[in-house]
Amino acid sequence: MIFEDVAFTYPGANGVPALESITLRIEEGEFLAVAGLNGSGKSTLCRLANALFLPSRGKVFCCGLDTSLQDNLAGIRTRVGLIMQNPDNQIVGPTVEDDVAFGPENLGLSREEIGRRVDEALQAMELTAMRGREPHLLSFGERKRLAVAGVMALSPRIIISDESTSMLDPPTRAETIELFLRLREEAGITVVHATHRPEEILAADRAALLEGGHLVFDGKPEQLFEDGELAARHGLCPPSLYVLARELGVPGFALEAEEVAEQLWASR
Amino acid sequence: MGIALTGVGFTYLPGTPMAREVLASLDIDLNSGEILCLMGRTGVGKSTLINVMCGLLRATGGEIALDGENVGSSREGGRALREAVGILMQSSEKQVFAETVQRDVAFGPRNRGLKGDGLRRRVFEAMLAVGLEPEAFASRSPFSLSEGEMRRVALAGVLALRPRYLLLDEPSSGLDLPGRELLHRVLNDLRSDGVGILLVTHDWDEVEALADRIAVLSDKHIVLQGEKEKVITALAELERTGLRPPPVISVLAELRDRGLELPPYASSPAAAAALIAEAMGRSRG
Repeated sequence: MIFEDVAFTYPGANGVPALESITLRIEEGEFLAVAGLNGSGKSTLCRLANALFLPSRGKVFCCGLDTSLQDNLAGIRTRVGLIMQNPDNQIVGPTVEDDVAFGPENLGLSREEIGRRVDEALQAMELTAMRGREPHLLSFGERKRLAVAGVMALSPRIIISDESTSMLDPPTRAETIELFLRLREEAGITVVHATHRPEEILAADRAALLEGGHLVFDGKPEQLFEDGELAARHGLCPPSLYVLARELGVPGFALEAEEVAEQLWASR
Repeated sequence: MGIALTGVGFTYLPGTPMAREVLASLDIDLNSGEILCLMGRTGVGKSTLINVMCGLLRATGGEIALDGENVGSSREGGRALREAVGILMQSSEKQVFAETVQRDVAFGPRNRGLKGDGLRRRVFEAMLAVGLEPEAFASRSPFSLSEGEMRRVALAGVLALRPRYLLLDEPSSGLDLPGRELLHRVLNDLRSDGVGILLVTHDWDEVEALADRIAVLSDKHIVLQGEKEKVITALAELERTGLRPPPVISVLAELRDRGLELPPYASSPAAAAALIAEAMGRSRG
């Protein structure tokens, strides 16, 4: 996925761009976290990535396809799946399984293939037991998992996650991140994940930080937190385990309590 | 003063094949002037519970007492609850609907008969409480605001009704740090004014910053309820409910298991670091 000097201005925004001069190259199989305060342009970037929005200036390429060419749209939409912040914006089916089938059905796949993909996606998101239920009877967190399952069933090459983990409880949030990591590991899927959560940023291969529509940082997630002032200015509190480890002079970066305890014990 | 639920149950679509019992013989109480954090896995029934507590859903069993008086599950009881209790729903930016911020915030009190200057004062007071300058925001369309600002409008709309109790369903998820800090200031002010606040949250940092007490909902019941420190350090019970304890508390527990003399609780990572450094020094010495 390539952003080449991209700018985007919303209609009615009096010419104030939501994104400006964004140049970013995301490699296949890379897990990129996109950070930034509310209103910094994260959602706009996500919507440019699957051609829901077209750049006002510059170009966006998905798997080599220029998003501004009408002929490329079908190809882009089968390769790029978008998981939105609010699941209710992307749930359409009368039952859980119908909803997950909606995407593959529209790809014109065979009945067997649709069935296989639905089963797999439901299983991955632990929704198999609820497959016959009406989506509005599910809890918010369950609907969120349903939205992710709907995207998974499209077998995308790139997953764009626009704060898809906000409103999930920490275990489900961690599971979603683990799922992203697994998809990258096993299927080489590229993940672009917009988030406010420091521990999710740290789980990524790379972090991009947006401020007022500009890309102000692009590098290793750890570096983002090394610069305390930069992190604080963007509302990024380092995770508690990170603070604990640094206070006690433990180097490196552990995300699990057991690991930190082990390191501390070893450092006696 | 408080809201107390005793033996409360709730079933969606009772008497149909779709019936789903979400709450059963559940006890919880919320006191005036405290912040009670309600935790639990997604889908466990937290939103259902607060809808029952504010009278939007009628309990299918049990007793609800408002300031010592049983309001039961009658129609009148529901009204008494709705008058005393304000609720800020999940994705509260969707709770906003009017053409201007001022009208949106005025909707509730106007429906309760407030008019003219009294109404205007009430609205501006509520806007100021959530950091929305009336001069800058009153005549703007709420739909021209950012999501965080829309949530503040929704909260102002609830506060304009001067609720004695306030239930908030994950108000900080999706908010950035400055947005969360502002929300925390508002909630602290309300607590000082004697409002009883129930806050649904998944965020241990938020719990640490705000909670007086914690209640954990799991499998239809409140399985843990008590002072903050006590619940946070009940690691085995927390894990049984599927919640991951705060990581720093887990580190303390791991090191205690290895024989370091440490207390089970620390209020911050820095405090934990100091305790650990001291304990390791002692164990060396």
